Amino acid sequence: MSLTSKTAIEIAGMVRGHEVSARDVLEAHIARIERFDGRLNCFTDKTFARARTEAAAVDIKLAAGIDPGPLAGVPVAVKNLFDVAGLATRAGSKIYRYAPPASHDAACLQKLIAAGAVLLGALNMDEFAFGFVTENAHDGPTRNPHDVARIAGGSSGGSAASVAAGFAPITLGSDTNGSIRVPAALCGIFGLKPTYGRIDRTGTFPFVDSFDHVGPFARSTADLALAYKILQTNDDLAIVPEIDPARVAVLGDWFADGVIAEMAEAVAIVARGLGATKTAIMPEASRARAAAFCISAFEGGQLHKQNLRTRPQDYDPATRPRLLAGALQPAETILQAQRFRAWFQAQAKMLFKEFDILLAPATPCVAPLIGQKTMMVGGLEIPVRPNLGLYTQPISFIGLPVISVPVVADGLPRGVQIIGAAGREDLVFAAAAKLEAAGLVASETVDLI
Amino acid sequence: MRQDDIAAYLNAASQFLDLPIHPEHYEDVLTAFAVICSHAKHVMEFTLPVEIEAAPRFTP
Repeated sequence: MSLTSKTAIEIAGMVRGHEVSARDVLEAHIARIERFDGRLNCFTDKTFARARTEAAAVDIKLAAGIDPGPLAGVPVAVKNLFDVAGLATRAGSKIYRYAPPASHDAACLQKLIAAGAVLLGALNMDEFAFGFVTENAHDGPTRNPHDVARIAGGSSGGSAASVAAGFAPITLGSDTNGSIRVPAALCGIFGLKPTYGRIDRTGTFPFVDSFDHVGPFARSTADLALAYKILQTNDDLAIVPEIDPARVAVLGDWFADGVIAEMAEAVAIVARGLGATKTAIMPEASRARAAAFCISAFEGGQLHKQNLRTRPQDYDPATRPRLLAGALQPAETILQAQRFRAWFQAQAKMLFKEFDILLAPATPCVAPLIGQKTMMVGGLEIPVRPNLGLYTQPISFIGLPVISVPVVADGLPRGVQIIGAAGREDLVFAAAAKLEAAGLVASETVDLI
Repeated sequence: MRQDDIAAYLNAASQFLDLPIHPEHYEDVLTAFAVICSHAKHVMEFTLPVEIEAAPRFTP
């Protein structure tokens, strides 16, 4: 097996065991990026000189008998809304690409580097994280490694496609309405959206303060758990809870009505794997999605108001109208949406008295084609760009932890959301690991030719 | 809300908030605002108990 097909844990184990140098691991990943990223368009900035310095530091520590950390020599990359010292934090935009470079790495990235990781660069995304497709007007679309005619999903499309392509075993992204879970699902990898506030967002470009989360992507639950453990401090995951099948349910209503057969099959596979036989209803989920839609456009619009006044022509045409329209909403909508959010959270808390794990599709369909405008859901033809997050938005609306798991099935990748109560990442990880051990969910580096 | 009403609100809000919409961008903004209005209607027509407070809370 090549170095670019190995998990982060395998790589760190080999490096710490002196089986391979951090330098050789890095050069194998750089060679793969140089060979294939021209086709996939994941990277907007490559920091290979920095990575070589960091890999050398790992090798020097090992030679001196010092443990470089649990990510010894593991190549990583981050969505380009994370501060990287020396780079402008462009957040997918034209407006900030020539901004003064960041003086420090984002808090998350600092933790990965302190654990021995080496940084390959920054990754493509939807402009200002406002989208689910990573068809960026300034930097071009990121292509799905499973089928380069298709989108990688978004807004963290470069982060998900990089992991699927074997460019890095771990990357970081952000998720406001589904921007980790949607691309993870479409690229066939694991993605964690943690509980709101659980991972420090310091040094990341904001989108919607009420909903912004950051989290990792990986090709195994163990790698995802390792990254999570490094990125946060109050959950050591040392005790793996048992999953009680009676406390697992499939979400019905909004999350099931009109779901296409492929996605229903994916959810059924996961449900069977966890022994779930019950259906649960998260009341008014469609209204939760609508409220999330309004708040996102409003907060995003407010954030960008000055630039929308002075240089609207510099925005991505897909982003600009939604930010402008969002900023012009009446206050009563936003107050009602935030009040509804409190009500909806209370309903979800009641649901978690009965259940530990809830299951739902991550997306309404497999990866659409690049440039595809509409898709069929529930017999209706609806626009792709705002609707790929139909099933993710109600969940991030109330900050619940979710892992999107890649279901083993024929055809293009499909993801299912494993949803837990706030602060119960341990249960979500335990469910994902159980499914992976049973061979029902899995991810491998895509064989690029 | 009728399309004419949406346009009238959008024009007034744009002027009042000093957030101009370039003529080239206007149709796209109007379309986006109509989509937001449909979501907002769905949210606004839900009757919430009076004791429900907005989700973000100031913590001194």
